[in-house]
Amino acid sequence: MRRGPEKRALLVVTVLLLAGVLTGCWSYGEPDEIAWVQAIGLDKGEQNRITVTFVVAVPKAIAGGGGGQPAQGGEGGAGTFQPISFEAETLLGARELLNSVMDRRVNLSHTRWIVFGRELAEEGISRYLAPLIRFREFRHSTTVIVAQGRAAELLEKGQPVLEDSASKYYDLMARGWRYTEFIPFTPFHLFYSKAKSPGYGGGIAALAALEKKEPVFPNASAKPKGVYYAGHLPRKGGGKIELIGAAVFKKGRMVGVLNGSEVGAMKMLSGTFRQTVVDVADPRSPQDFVIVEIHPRQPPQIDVSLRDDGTAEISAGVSLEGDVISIQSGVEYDNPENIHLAESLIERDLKRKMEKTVTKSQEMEVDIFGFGDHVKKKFATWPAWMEYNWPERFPDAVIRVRVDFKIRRIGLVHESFPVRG
Amino acid sequence: MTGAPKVGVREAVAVTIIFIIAKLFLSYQVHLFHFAANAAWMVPLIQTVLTIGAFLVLAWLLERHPGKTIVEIGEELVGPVINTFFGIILAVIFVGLVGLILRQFAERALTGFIPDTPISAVVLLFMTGVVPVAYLGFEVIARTARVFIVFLVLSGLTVVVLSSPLWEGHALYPLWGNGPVGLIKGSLVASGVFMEIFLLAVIAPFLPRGSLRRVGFWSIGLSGLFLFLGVISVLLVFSFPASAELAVPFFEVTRTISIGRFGQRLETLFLPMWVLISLIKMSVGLYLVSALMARTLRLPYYRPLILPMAVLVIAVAFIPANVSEAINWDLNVLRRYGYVIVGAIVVTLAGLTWWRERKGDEAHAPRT
Repeated sequence: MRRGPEKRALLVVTVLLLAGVLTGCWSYGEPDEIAWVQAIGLDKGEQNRITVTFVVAVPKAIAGGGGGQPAQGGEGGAGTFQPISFEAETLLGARELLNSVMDRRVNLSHTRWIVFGRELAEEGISRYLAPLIRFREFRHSTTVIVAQGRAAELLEKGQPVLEDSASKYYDLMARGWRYTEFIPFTPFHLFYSKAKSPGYGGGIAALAALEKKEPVFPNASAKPKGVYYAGHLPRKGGGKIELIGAAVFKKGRMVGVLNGSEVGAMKMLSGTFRQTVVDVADPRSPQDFVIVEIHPRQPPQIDVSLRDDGTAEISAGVSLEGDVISIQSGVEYDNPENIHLAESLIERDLKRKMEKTVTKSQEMEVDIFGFGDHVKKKFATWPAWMEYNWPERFPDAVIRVRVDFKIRRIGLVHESFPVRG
Repeated sequence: MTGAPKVGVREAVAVTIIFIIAKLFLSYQVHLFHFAANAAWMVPLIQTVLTIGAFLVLAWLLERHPGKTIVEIGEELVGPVINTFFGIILAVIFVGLVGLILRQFAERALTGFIPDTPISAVVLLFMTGVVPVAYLGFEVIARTARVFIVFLVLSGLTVVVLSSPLWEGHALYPLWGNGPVGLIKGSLVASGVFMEIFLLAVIAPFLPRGSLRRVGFWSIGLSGLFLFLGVISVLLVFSFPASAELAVPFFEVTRTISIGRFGQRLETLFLPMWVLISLIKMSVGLYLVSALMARTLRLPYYRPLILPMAVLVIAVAFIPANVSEAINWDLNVLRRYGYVIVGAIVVTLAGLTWWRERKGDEAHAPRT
């Protein structure tokens, strides 16, 4: 194809100009010249307004020393990350200070957790959220967590056990919300949008703590598995960090906590529940438990009506289904004629937990379920909805919970016989 | 002009759609949330209907003067003096528009991806890509748009679909947002978002005979659909009022997508989309202002005007002191009043055409 002299000249000029670009530009950054921050902790300051802790990945320890050397993660992934704390006025000011310590340029774009110490959370965190939404490096998918003690201590001592990479450890811990009821789903974008939404008037953050050294309960009485908070799991061994329960925020300030079961109830009523295992005491043999794995059958059905005085009447219907995975007593709940007995047993237990959680949430005056998002459907316009002032009215709302549970499968046993030997 | 380009219906639709919807990748949605709150998703739909109405006037005018652009029609109807005035006004509006868009694209590139690069380097690099394409002519731009629109639409829809696990349906309520008055006011005030449809007034002679309305309807309809998807996906992910805080909402949607440990950081998908759509948009814009000026000044070629116009566009891009000012001038000044001026010129010419035809009919009517 013949080109005119005009086009040829243009082509040459363009190629020459673009060739200059190939040498690199101002904003280039080699991945091995960047200090990737994996988690950020914020605490009330000791020598300045806040203490900011950065967990920085040590890539050579994760990747191995070369020449076929294994990763240095070894036991507990120690050495694969480095926690560094600063006393500073602001989070991003501390990031600037971190640059004076690290040989590599600091980057927050791979941050998996942002952890607030409880003291700071109770004082209020609104002023620390605003810069995060604006700063380009901060990701909205980062999980928001409140540490029972200081965030700095949690991040310093909370070493991974199964992973070499702290990033993967944080990521997988937070993803536990998918397969246990005890961990809430708290990505930053959800936390932020709910904190801003008049339909909630607050937000929820996952609750984390380091394991407690001394026994957390004085006796050996039976305790349902969901009564625990992070830092109070009776256990020995495993990773240092416990993630169970939730911190409840109102107007940017932490006002209370939910235990594991209450988080489960909140997730079932708000539609973020995926699965859990429920063990219920068998009424025919109180020492034994019926254990079922449950899943949502359909999203919760929330019906709202408004009384003449404006009080909201909310009927929350939760539909679940599940598989029997153990009947310790040997009672034939797996028999088609008796299945409904097991279903009612589970329904009663779940309903009780949900009602208790609703009452607690009304006492805290925070709509953690997002019922307000259904109430607002009763209003035609945004100004009318704002005028209704849901956060003020939520404590007086009349909330009824309905649970409909169906057993679908009975595990790998068709029928059970009593132990006679 | 250097020989009339020939552009097919699909090429014309593709280039017009890209010219209109590129603003989705800037701060367009934020503007709507301020007017209509959580009912902002209705605004593009209302604007689509309003724009079809406005386009019918433009199409009627152009069909009455086949083979002519708006500038030549103006010359025939109002004479060279007033028409030169009209032409310069139109060129000024579109130079302003293209310049402010250039500034916003450059600023967003700096904010999101390349914070250490001087803005002058970004603007010059942008224009290094835009000037040769505009120089090669409208046929080349339209064919480029036709090729890349498939990738752009598929990428955009992928982002929308992948964000769906984060959607919260209640974000659409209360259904009427700030109320019907706010909704209509917002739709009217922000109607300038479709101002780019004016491109058809300049490229009409390049289109296959009798295809103008088809091109217009498809362009406006599909643009409205894409703008609607761009607004509703942001609203469903972030809800109102948090959605109104974001400077580049569609970019934030791509950053929020998280599907497993590896289905994240989809701005890598956003980036090529963003660069391609902005380069095509800028090329069309630069061609439009050069062609407008060439025809207004009755010059036979538009190409000598490309570099001077590029310099003007760059100059305009650097007038605002900061990005907030650039957004304000674009959305609250130029589009709000610019489309009224553009509309007034079109309506004036259409009115004159109608009056002439009526006068002509009366002159030829049998006397009774």
